[in-house]
Amino acid sequence: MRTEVFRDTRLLDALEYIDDEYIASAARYKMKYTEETHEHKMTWRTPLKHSKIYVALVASLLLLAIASPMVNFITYMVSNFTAGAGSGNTSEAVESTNGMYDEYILTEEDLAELNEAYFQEMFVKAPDYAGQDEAFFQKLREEDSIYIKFALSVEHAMERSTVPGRHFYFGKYGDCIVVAKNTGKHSTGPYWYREYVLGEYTFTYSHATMLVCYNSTFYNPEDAYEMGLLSDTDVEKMYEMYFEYYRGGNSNETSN
Amino acid sequence: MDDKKIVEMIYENNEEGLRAAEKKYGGLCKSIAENILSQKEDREECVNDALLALWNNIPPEKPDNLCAYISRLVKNLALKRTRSNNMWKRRANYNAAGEELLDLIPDGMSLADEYEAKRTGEIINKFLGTLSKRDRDVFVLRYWYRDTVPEVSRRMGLSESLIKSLCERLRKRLRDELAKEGIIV
Repeated sequence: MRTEVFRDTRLLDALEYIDDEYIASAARYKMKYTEETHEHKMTWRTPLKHSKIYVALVASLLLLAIASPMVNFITYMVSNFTAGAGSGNTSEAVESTNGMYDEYILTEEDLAELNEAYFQEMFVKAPDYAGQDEAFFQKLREEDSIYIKFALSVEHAMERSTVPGRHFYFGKYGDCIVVAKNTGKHSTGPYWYREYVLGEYTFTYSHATMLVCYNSTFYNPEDAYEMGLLSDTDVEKMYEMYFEYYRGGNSNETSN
Repeated sequence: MDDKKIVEMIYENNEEGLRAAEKKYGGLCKSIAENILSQKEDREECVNDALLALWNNIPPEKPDNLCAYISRLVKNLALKRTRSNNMWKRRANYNAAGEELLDLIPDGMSLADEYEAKRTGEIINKFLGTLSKRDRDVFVLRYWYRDTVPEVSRRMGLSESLIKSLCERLRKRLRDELAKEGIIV
């Protein structure tokens, strides 16, 4: 009977012999996610956050803000209200990128402070270009802890940004370049890039995906491998670095 | 409550221990059953059966790792129920996760008896020991717990494409290991 039913599941039988420790380790993700999902469902903000009308309203306000400095203040208030006042947003960010955020638990005060910084940089100083303002980046390097927190807040704020495809260049730290990009999709939010140069290629890491930039075109690593742009070792190395980043590379950066 | 304490309580026939186990691991049990059983009633019964088995097995058993122990109980009971209901192929994702691994061993290979399964299990264990914790968790979530790619992605906070790529690479590495050990040629 076993052979008939599991005729093609031999390896699956063998899997049953893996260590308890491995099963329990992975179980933690299942348990955590179940709890967070439950908590998330309990908040009243969820339906509001995903409302198309709500997204359209915020997008319109932000579009106006970019067009007219007069409206900046309103945009700031909206941004502060939506990103800063909502604890639901905080937990969602932790949930969606828990590998990156585990070590940074932001408070409401942090968010308010970060939104202020975001507003200042985005609308007052307007460094929304890939220009090399060395003084600006130097300042970020000197204030690295604030810088990292500031970068984290970008995700909240950028979700409400308005120009799909627009890159916002936030700074450089060592070989790490942080760029937020508005994808134009509310559900996915912006990308948060980390770039690393290996030979003639620039590898770009983000919390959402990893891309290879070659001649200004982005490829995923497997495609780049298929096209002969990368060797198997290169791809391996990229993933190693990518996971190293999640495993704690980011926390080292803040202390360096 | 600490797992050790829960086991101790159940060992001493204290029902509070069972309630604590249900509170702590009920969600996990449900999630494991969901990946295997399509009917809600079956899943609920399966989780209840697992808790009953936990109660009946302790004592004489005294698991060191309660989380893994209860996970195995639920999974085995769910599989048993699936076999008896002849619904093996109803859950698409369960099947899909299995099929990805099945590709590693071509048809006609002999790995049917327990000895060979155990030997292969040891090789898989060794292979898992060489992986980083994150890679190993992805592998176990996908192939032991049979979570779908989107589920693994959500749980780990990584993109689906990354999980897919990673699983592909891990399978390739496992295939190499199995070939090296003579399990496949």
